[in-house]
Amino acid sequence: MALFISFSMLHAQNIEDDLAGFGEDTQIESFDELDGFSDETLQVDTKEVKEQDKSSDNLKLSGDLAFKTAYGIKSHVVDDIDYKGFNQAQTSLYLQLDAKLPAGFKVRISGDTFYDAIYDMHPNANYSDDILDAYKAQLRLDDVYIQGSLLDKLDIKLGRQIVIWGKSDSIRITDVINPLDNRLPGLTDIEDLRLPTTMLKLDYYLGDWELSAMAIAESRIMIEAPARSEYFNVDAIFAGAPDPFLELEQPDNSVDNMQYAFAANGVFSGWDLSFYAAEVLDQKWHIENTKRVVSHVKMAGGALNIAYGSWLLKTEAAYLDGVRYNSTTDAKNRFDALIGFDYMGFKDTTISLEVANRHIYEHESVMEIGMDYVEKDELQTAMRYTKNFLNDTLDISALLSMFGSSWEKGGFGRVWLEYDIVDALNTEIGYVEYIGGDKPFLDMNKNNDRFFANIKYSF
Amino acid sequence: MILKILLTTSLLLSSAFAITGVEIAQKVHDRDDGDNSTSDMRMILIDKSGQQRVRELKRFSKDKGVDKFNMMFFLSPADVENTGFLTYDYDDSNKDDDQWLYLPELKKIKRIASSDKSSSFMGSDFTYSDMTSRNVEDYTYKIMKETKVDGHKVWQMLVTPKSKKTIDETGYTKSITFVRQDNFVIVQALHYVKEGKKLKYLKVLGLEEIDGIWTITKMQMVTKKGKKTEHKTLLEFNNIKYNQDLQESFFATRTLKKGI
Repeated sequence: MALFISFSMLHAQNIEDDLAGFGEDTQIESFDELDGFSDETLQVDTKEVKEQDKSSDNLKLSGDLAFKTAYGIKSHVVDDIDYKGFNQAQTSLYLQLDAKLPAGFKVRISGDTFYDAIYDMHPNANYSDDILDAYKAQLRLDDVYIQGSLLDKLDIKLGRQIVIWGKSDSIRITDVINPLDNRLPGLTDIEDLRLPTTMLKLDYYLGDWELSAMAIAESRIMIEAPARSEYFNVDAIFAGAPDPFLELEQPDNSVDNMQYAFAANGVFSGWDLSFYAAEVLDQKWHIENTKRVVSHVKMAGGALNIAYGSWLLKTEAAYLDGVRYNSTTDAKNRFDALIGFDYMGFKDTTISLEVANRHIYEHESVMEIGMDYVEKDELQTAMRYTKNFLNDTLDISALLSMFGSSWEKGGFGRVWLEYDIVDALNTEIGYVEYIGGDKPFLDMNKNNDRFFANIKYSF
Repeated sequence: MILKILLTTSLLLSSAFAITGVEIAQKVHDRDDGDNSTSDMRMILIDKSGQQRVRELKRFSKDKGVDKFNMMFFLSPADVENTGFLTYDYDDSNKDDDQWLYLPELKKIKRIASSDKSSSFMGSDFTYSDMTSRNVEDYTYKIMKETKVDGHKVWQMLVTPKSKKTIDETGYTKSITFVRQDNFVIVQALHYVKEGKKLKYLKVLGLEEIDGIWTITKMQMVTKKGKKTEHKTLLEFNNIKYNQDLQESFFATRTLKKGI
């Protein structure tokens, strides 16, 4: 009994000790005393923000200024240039202008520019014009569109824009609308890879469904690492490759090259379902008549998300008709399927796994050894881990992307951390390891491992 | 003899409260918290060295029967501007809430699997469970005593999750709440955090009656380990308006994508 009383008293005393925390915070560490940040000051700040918002309500300029650098840790020689050591010193500026028009319409115009001083810092390196064009400087338009509602349930978006299909985050299966910027594979996250394309997009809302139709007028294709650059050692892949290498032909913007796409996205309680159909430019090139060209493919597919507890199941499937390869004369059909999940059951943590298989119908053995290096079934695995620390000021992430059933074909692994120094000023440092394997397109980069860092100010 | 005194005291205390703990919790839950509301939210995050980060958001809320729809858009800082967050907060504790996040950098709407709500809400000391209503039947309630907070009479209650599932979902092993007797608003709470033996102190700093609805206009959450403050968050609500013309169709991924 004495023990019970002692415990009860001790418990009561503990609670009273804990409750004392209210008093301490208001008396000793109150907001008034902390950095002189009083409630009165807060109200003044709030008014200032509101006034700024009003003045810039219809026109807003935002963007970011960034500096990126990278350091190659191994000797990685391509075309007699060794990329070991500092190989990037890029300053970039991104600007975005948003305007609100009458009737709820909005306009966005954005563009970016960069200059990489590393090419001035290595004057003795004999960089080709293609390399300098691709990596030294850039000035381009990104999003340029107008969007609004034509009717109560009908939206329109006209102009250069990005449309994302699918539920996966690391592997693309049904995400076929926009081409990618592949100049720095493995080093850039997917959000910075997609290239906006000019199109007319109409969205009609019917109950839980969004029905979309797109007519894509701009025949924009992927941006590749130039031949004989640090990410495309063409001589390691194609024996006797011509110099200069085969030109990547830009398709004309013509009626014949118009692309079309349709989607139906259903959003339900606990799950989402999407169906897709498209005739678009392929996401890869093939060699035809001594040129690298991109052909049209037809795609029909779907994607499903199911949320259960802390699990988010992700599945995608796509049937592609008319995929061209280097080593065969006829086009092939391909079935791509993905299954994966996100797990968010650990505090401030997301773990995701995606596994995809690409099955080529009427596969020919020559495709495995000559110019294409693709098997009948090709497995890709992507694992991602992200954890937030220090009240979201520090994010630590890791991504592993590997090809082959036992990862024998190679891939890459990347770890990085992002830290918010202050609001709108953040820095990122990381390391990417390119893992060699049976696939020459991946094996050629096995010595291209590098540390990278950047600092970005958003405004 | 001592046991007899304790039992008698307990009985006397119980009969002294004309209302039970669960009845208070139900009244807190059922209290009119407004419908079709819009507000500007300002979140000030302060770390232990005193460095501040400020997030500004626009918030929309609508009731659908016993369920609640919420939509939030970041207005600042620049690196997260236009990030949108949509939640269907279901009253039924057996049904997971639906949540979607729109990341403007990614230009993609992503569904969030939501059963674990113990994670930080946008980097603040509030968790996702703090930002949604709790199910009354998931907890036991014990009135500890009647006391006063800022001059108002309150019930001090011990709130204990009934199951490990609720502890895992909220991240709190128990809470002590202070409920104002005149309006059933929780004006103070102490949460015991499962991980790291931390304590979280919630204190309402501003409470106004707007359109007849008791409305929190300012509150803070302070995370402490022992007596040492680790981090604190101040939440301010401005331009609070009820009974706005918000259609159910507004609370959809379409709005997330288009922005405000």
